[in-house]
Amino acid sequence: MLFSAELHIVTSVEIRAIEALGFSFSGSSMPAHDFINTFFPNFNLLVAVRTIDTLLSSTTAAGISKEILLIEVPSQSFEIRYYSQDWSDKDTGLALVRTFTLENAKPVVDHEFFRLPRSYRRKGIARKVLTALFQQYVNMGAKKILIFAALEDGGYVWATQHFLAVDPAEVATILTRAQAGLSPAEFNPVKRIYDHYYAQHIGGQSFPMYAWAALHFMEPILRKSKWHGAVDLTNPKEFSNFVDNAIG
Amino acid sequence: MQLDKSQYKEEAHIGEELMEDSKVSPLDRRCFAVKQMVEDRVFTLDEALAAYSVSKDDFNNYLSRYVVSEIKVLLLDSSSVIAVTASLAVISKLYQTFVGSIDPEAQAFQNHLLSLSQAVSSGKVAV
Repeated sequence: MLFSAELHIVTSVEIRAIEALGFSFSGSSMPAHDFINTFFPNFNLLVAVRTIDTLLSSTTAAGISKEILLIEVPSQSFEIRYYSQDWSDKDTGLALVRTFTLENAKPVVDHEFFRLPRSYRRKGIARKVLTALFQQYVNMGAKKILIFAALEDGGYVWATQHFLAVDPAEVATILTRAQAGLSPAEFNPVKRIYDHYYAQHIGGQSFPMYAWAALHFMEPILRKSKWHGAVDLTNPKEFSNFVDNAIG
Repeated sequence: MQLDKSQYKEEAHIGEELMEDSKVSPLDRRCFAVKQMVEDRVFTLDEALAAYSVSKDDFNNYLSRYVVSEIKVLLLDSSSVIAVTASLAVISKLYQTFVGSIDPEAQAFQNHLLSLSQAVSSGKVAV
């Protein structure tokens, strides 16, 4: 799938259309359209939230909160929150939270929270939501996507989607667990990948976790691990690897 | 009920859905790792194939599909001159990566490709 950046200027009419969908704005004294156009230009907010609403509103019978938080201090950021009243229920809860911050004036997207009700999982909804939002990341020239690959299998699945590990200490912790849980023959390639990367990149923030995840004996280790990951969208290789795997 | 930031996480089932629906098969993921680890000189090709449990046939098949897709991307919206020179660059890179270390004539082959590419670029050879 190819993505190309599309220009867009958010208007006050679009903001009213977003409010008509049930979203509320809070946090900034600036008009919402000015805020987005100034700090996150070309993000087509109406298209993004309308897609989210279309895809997710029918997945829950509970009431849905739809919030857009615009923050000016200490630095500009905004957050889209879309969640059911029973969001914390692991079976029926619905939650989508995306936070957009600026790093050296370039947008960074944090994939903070996404949970679908159990009966709506594995029906292609998640991919459609991610794809629609990814187009907006491209539009505004997002620099990177962040994720916290947590326990309950997340440590493995997000590695397969080409998120790279940013924290050497977390990677070292996983290495230690691998040494304890694997045979010497299995551990050998795990250690070589680790040693090679950090010898080339001291303190590196792009450890190729996918290379560990593709070793079949590392799957159970990673499924019980947690680490912070990122995709550098300014790196053409990382961009295309992520699109090929996560967007498809 | 207000959200509790301490409970935020991108659920694994989201990633599982992406994995299951992906056009990238588990075998392709392993082949990708083989290719990358060899390119990065972490493993030799034989070591990487063994580590990732990939047969040579499966890897060659993956590599062929990879080359075809790379060339298609390169040729997209390209002029014929760019298409040919880009294709030559791909062949050169592949040769250098996978055959360069075992062929004593590798540099001569690279030079021929470079000369041909320059001839196409300058119009000496029409495409």
